[in-house]
Formats: sequence, structure tokens, C-alpha cells
Amino acid sequence: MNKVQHSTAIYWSAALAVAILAVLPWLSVPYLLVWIFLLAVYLTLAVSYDIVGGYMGYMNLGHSVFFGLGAYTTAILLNEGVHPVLAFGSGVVVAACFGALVSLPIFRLRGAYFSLATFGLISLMGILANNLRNLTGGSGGISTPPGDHGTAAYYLSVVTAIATVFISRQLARSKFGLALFSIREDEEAARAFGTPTTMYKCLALVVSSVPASLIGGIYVWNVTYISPPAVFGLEIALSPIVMAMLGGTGTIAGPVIGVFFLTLVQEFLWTKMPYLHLTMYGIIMVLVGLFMPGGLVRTRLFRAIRERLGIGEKAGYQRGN
Amino acid sequence: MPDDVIQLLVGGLLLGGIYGLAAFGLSISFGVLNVLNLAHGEFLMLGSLAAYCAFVGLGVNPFLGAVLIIPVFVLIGMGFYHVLLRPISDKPPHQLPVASILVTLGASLAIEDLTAFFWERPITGIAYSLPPLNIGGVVVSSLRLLILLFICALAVVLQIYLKKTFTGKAIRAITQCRDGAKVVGVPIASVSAITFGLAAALAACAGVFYVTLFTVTPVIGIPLTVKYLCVVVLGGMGSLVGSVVGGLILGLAEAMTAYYLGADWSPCAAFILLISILIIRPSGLFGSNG
Amino acid sequence: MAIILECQNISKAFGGIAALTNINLRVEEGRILGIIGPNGAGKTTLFNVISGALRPTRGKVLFQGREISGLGPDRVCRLGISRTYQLARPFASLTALENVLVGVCFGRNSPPPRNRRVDLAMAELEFVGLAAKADQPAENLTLVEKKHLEIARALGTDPKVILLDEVVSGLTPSETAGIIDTIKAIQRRGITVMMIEHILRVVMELCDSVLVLHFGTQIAHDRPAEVVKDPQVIEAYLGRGERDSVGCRG
Repeated sequence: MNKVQHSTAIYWSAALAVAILAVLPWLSVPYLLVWIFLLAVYLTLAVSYDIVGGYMGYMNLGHSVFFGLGAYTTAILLNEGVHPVLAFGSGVVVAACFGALVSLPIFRLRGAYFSLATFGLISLMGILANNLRNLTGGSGGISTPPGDHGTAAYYLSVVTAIATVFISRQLARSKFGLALFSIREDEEAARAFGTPTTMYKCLALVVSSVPASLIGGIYVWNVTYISPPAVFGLEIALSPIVMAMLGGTGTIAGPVIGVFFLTLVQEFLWTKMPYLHLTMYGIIMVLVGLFMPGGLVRTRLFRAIRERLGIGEKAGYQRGN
Repeated sequence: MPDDVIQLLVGGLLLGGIYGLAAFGLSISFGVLNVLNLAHGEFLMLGSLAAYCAFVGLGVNPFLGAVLIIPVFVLIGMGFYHVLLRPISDKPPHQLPVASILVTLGASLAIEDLTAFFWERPITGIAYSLPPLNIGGVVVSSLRLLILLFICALAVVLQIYLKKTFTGKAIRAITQCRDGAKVVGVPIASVSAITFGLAAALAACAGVFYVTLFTVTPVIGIPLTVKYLCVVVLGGMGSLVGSVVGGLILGLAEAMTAYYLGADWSPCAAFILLISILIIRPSGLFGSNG
Repeated sequence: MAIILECQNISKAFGGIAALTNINLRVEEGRILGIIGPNGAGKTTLFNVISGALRPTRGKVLFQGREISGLGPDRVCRLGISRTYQLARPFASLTALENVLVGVCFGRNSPPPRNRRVDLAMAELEFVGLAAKADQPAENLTLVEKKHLEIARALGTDPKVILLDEVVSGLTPSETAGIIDTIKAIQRRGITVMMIEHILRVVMELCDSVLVLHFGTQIAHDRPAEVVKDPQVIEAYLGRGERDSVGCRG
């Protein structure tokens, strides 16, 4: 098959997958729906993380702060009787404003300093969530009005995930993406050639906050209960980032592949060994860091597969644009 | 001065000294390796653990423990360097940050989790006490004073080491100009290993003192590393004086926050300080560039 | 000819070290100014001050009569001054085309519409002879190609003044000849060139006037033929008693 036929084959497969996803709720497989929901959450977080972490090169280990902010804002508003859509939207606004505000001081740090500081931001939020008991319910967490939102949440999350991948792809092929890449490659030179780096760093952070906070709102609406460790904890903070790095940071397909790969591995390992999950995570991280920090998509094996199938676009400015 | 303010000051200074010691270790390891070790807090935690075991199992007092721990952790640190950090040091510059964060954070998680697995209960501190002193009518814990003195002595020894010995000078040379140091023949890899061992030992020492005052759980590592970052940013990278002063500021800030707002809020102090310094003076109080 | 760029009493100190002291120069539009001096004389620092990467400690930089000292490098670029770097530093994992596109999209006075961007970038790549390598990652290019890419990237911002920092260092004589032709072509486009150079042969061939820096001060500013006869210059730069050896260090 030549390349054109390959591409159409891929598009048909994608269409088929979407069709299957659409009708799944009617097939009475609730476990699968929950599983796909979680997958969608991780996918949204990983891809939105990579906008700042991979395209721009600032590894924002505190990305899940937006998730938590979206979740808590939505939860608080839902309890006040606000309509879910409005609650989600407010969560996004709060997270975006937070991102814009914090970008001013935090982007004065670079490299590992930046990562550590943003990581510390999560602990800070966790403490706030614990201490502001009247607002957030404290360490006991917060419950939202019960209701069976399983199916609606499923659709919303899948749509959000797909939309996030789409946004990421469009970004990578546009002038915006070019700005981010130039900042990653050489921030000083980027400025010397006109890139308004301060503005783009802030914008990138805000853009990345939107899908994360949205999926946070959808998450709490679905599971009807969150607590500080659930949304500001280590697991939700690091999993999407490790997935993005494992798959290949700075690429369009990387985070997607990383999410699928690691979720499957998790399913397999977690059931065999109920303990030491974080240790296994840590070991995976060390191994990836030592042997393939570029991620799966940059390994020779993967490149060979890509050649054969004739797919895979590089994250870069598209001539057609 | 009222009694509790003095206690507050001493407590704050002490905490600050502990932070400063460990933060300085982080600072020199970064200066020499160009990698920020996110697992640094784990050495403190392990140091606390070791001190506890030595105290409970063998009746070793903390000060002796601190001295004994130094060589042990120098070796551990060097091992850590050779296994995890040396392999990534030749990665190309655009892969190095990702690789270093993955490796050090991964190590941190694994260490924490494994420790938590084998050690279920939190270490509620070493019950080592000395009779309190009476200075000018104020009762001060002599244990705390002694620790403070010990830390000061350690800082002086460190300063001498860095200024007078060959290795110390090599460390400073690499920190200031890596390429220049290479050109004059400084053996980068072995100096890096020793530096890292030293950094680990300093953190472990800090841990010994930490556990005489506070409860230690396996998960304190990462929040502590964030605090060290705050100290380093406050005081400026690479400066011993800066780390000490930064540590003292943070220690006092935390003690005051705990006193006036409650212990729940004291971890916030580090972060508020960090953000403030970043806005006001990004290069730190003693640093030369951000 | 109009004065397009002017430095008035520029001084730059780092801590206690004076990198530049009282630099005064005026550059005529459309000319080529060479800047020479021993290593550490402050040449790149001068470029950094002019391009906005550094603020002068004292003094002013005037571009087309307007003060630009203290504006950030991105604004200075958009006003019409762009540069290359001594050690070629293109955006490594971006393609040659994307490298030039950065300047085209962000560094011009007015950003071009979407459908013109690639054409403008390709035009500069063709100008330097890299059109065939447009889709190659910059890190895969050879040294001379990277140097050309740096020039293309700077040209992509539609500059009125271009600052070239030792563009021919490390190149073979034939590669150097190629760059010289490119610089002449740049001048023909009406762009004013300021170039830091060590190789006197190049300076003599290209430059309309030469500025000599030594320990951060300017010790001569004249036509090339005059500068090489200046006893101060000979002593400082070429060495005592070397007035006849206008040598090539290629």
C-alpha cells in the first residue's frame, strides 16, 4: 500500500474507533466506561501538560494544580446549586486566572528550579485545601450532589480528551507553537528575534490550564467526592507527566502513546502487586531517564514502525499554514 | 524579651541551621553537576532513620551519630552518583533536564515508597535530652543550643575544607567555570562523586538533628527539597553564607508562622517567601545571577 | 548619507569590571562597519548593548534618531536591528525553515499575513543558498551551513541594520569567500552591516570604516587603510614593531 492508502486506512480506523466509543454506553459494559473515563482524564492532563512541558520546555510538575482548582471550584459551585456547565466554566476561569497570576513570578525560574517550585505549588494548594475548612471541607473532602452522571461524564470526558489532542496538534503547527518551540530551544535567541517570550509563557500556561481544569470539573461531577490527596496528591500530579515523558515529550503522539502504554502496564502490574506502586513508578521513571529520555516515539523501533505505516507527523510548523 | 519569643528565636534559628546545612549540600551538588537533585530530601530522611536506629538499637547519642553518619553517607552519595547521575551527565543539553528530573524524582519516589513499606510507623523523634540551661534568667534547652553550636562548627569546618583542601578548591573551581577546570586538569567525574557524597552527608547530618526535634515520616523528603530550593533561591546559589542566612530566614519565618497562625500553615511560609523573593529580587540575597 | 545608528558615550560595567568605556560611534546607512580588537576587548558586549540584550550602564544607543537603549531585545529586533551569534546557535531541533520563520513571524516591524510567511522565509533561505535544506533540522547542518542559517534567520526579520559576530571564524578560505559574497549582497539590499571580525583580510575587503576596541575603549575609528597605519592600533592589536604584517589568521 502506498502512503495515501495508508493515510485513508488510518483515518477509517480512527473513525471506527470513534464510532465504537460513541455506542459503548449501550453495550452494558460499565467497567469499560469507567476505565475509558479515567483514560480520558489522564490523556487530557498529559497532553495539556506537554504544551508547557514539552513544546515550551518548562517542565511544569505542578500541572495538576489546575486539575485540583477546577475540581474544587466546580464542587463548591455544584453544592450551591449552580448548573454543571456553569460550574465547569467557572472552574476553568479560576484556574486560568491563577495560571496568569502565578506565571509572573514563577517564570523567572528556569529548568529544575522551575520544576521544583511548581511542584511545591501542589503542596501549597493541598495545604490550603486542608486548612480552609469552611470552603473546602478540609481534609475530609467535599461531596457534591449525587446522581448517575456516568454516561454523560463518559461522553464529556472523551470529547474533552479528543479536543485537547486536537488543540495540541493545531498549536504545534501554528505560529503559537513556533514561539513555544523557539523558547524551548533557546529562550535568549528567541527574544533576540522578536518573540515576546513573557507573553507567550503566560499564554501557554493559561492555555494548558483550560483542559486540565475542565476535566477536573467533570471528574468531580462524576465521582461526586474529592479530597485534597485525590486532586492535589502525588499520584495525580505525576502520573500524567510520567506518561507524557514515557511516550515522548514535545511531540503530538508522544503523550497519547504514553498514556495508553502506561495505563495498560498499570492495569497489568497493579493487579499482580497491590503494594509498592510508587516504587514501580519511580523505577520506570529512572529507567526512562537513563535509557530513553526522549520517550517511546523517539526510539528507533518506533520510528521504523512509523516509516512502515506511513503515519506520524512531526510537531512543527506546517507549510500549509 | 518575653520567654516564648526567645524560644521562638532559638527554635527558628535551629530549624534554619538545619535547613541551611542541607541546602548548602544541594547548592554545591548543583554547582558541580549542573543537575538539581530532587532526591536530596531523601538523604535527610534516611539520615534521620539511621540516627534513630543507632540511638534505639545501640544507644548512640545524636552528636556521635552525626559524626559517624558522615562517612557512611559520603559513600552512599557517591554510589548514587555513579549509578544514577554519571550516566546521564553526557546526555545532550536538550535531553539533560528531562533525564535529570526523571531520574532524581524517580529515585526519590522509590526511596520514599520502599522506606514507607518497611517502616510503618512514623519516627516520633529521639528521646535524647539534656538538662536545660539557665541563661540570665531564661530557661533554654541545652540540647538545642548544643545542636546549634555543632552546626556552626560544621559550617566552619566546611568553609575551611572548601578553601584549603585540594578537593574543596576543585569543587569551587568546577562551580565557577567548568570548562576552565577541565582545561587545568581537574578530574570532573571523581570530584563530582565526592561532592555528591559530601552533599548527601550534609543532608544526612541535618537529618540527625532534625529527628531530635521533629517527627519524621518517610514522605517528608519531597516537601523538604522544595524548602531547600527556597533557601537556595533566597540565599543565592553556591554561597555557604547565603545558604545559612537563607536557611535562618526560612526557619524563623516558619517558626513565627507556626506560632501565630498554627502549625498547619507553616509549610506555606517557604512558598510565600519563594514567590516574594522571585518578584522582588530574583538573584537571591547573595547571588550574582538568577 | 544619513546616520542610522549612533552610540553616545556607551559604557557597560559588570560589577567592578568595565567592559566598555565611552564608546562613541556613528554608523552611516548602507555602509559596512568593521569592529576589531583583541579577545576580551568588549566587541560582543557592544553588540549586546546595541541589540538590547544588555542595558548600558551609561550612555545611549540611538537608532534612526530614536533612543533604544533599555528596550528589550525583542522590541529592538522589531524596530529593525538583528544579529548573528559568534558561536552559531540556531534553534537546534527546528528545521532551517522554522528557524527563519521565527524571525519572520515575530521579528518584523509588522507581522506578515499567514500566507506570506513561508514565502518570506524561503526567500531568505534561497538568498543564502540553503533552500534545499529547508526541512533539515538545524542541528544536522554543517558549520558553514549553520553560519548561513544564522544570517538567513537575521535577514528574516527584515532588518535595517544587521550585526554579524565573527561570521567567518572556523571556516575554510573558500567558505569565507562565500560569506564575503553574501555580505556584499546584503549591502546591495540596502541593509547596514556591522561586523565583528578577527581576520583582517576580510575587514580590509568589505568594510567602509573600522572601529578598533581595546580593553573596552575605542582607540581608532577610521577607514581601514588608515586604521592599520595607526600606531596605537598596531601596538595594541598587532603587536609592537609589526606594522608591516597585516596578516591573515585564517
